[in-house]
Amino acid sequence: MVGCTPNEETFLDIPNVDFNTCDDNCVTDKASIDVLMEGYGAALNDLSLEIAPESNGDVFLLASGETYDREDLKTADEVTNNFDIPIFYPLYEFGLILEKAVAVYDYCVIGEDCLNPLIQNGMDIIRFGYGFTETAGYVLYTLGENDEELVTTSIEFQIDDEFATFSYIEWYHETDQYIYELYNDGIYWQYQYADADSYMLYYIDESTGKSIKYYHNTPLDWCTIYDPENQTVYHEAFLSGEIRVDQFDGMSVLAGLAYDGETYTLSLNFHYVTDWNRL
Amino acid sequence: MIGESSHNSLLYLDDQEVYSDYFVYVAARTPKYIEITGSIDINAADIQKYLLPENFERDTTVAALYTELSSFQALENPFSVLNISLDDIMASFNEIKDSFNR
Repeated sequence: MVGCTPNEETFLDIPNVDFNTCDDNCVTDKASIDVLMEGYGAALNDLSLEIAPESNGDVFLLASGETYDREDLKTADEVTNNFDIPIFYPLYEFGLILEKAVAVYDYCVIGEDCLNPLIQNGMDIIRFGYGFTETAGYVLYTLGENDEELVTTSIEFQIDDEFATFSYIEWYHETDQYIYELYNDGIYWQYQYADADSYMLYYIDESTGKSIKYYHNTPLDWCTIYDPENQTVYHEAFLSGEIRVDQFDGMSVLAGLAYDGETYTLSLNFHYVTDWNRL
Repeated sequence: MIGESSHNSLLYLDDQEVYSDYFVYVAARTPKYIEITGSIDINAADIQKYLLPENFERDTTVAALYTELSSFQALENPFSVLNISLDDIMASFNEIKDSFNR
């Protein structure tokens, strides 16, 4: 049956999501959208705090040349900027995408030509549209030169205090280069494709932490994979052959072992080592 | 003390420097999480008999890490740890590209 059996579905298969972003109640005037954006920001902050509940509050800054007592070295927020188990990342990225939406409705008025000073490379906004409700929105625009459509960007999202989903598409018509991002049901996909020698995949399952980051830009190919079944992060740099495994407990790394072809390097999380009290 | 020009540091128990055989790297991943990582190079000939410091409080062992690393190194396809192949990945890239051209 080889050649006749369809591939089994994998977790990389992307669902079709109907965002239902706009109907009769969409607003398009800047003043109203600015108010809605504040609501999206507040909802995004609430959702982010569910992922990283310790991210707010007092901060602690390190300075070179200083001595610190062990008890002052914070470990409260294990989630934010944890790129080994990057469950913080989808909502962080959602915030950046909302900022991209602002760049369009701030400068382009529905029904008028748009001269957006943020658009670079001599291109013009040929077509655009947007609309927002209290819990959803979309921005769609196409850039081009001399009426030739070159790049289409699409942003769609839904958000409230308990739920968020978004998609971001940037597609270059002539070259088929693209950026595609989808966050839905707590799962995030990001695909960036330039050509056969340059592409990137980012997959994150927020509930389990399962994740893949695969960067292929010959010769700098590498991947980082987190398998929640055995709480291990795997790293491989394909050109150099360097590999590493890190053992985790929850969101916190315990220890890791790396090999560069000659030497092993053991690393320990010294928060789990006793008999020191100052650094 | 945190170094002037880098983030390497020394560890002390009271005024006595300890764990001096480890290179200790300190970084503020966020203002509310300070990473303190100690690393040490081990010759290949010694790796399987190397023991973690007695004062390491968790159950991980170097032998377990070595076994996991060796298993990972032996894989032809690193993504197989999550039961996917490079073909699966490329198929998903192509599926997206095709969706733009419909």
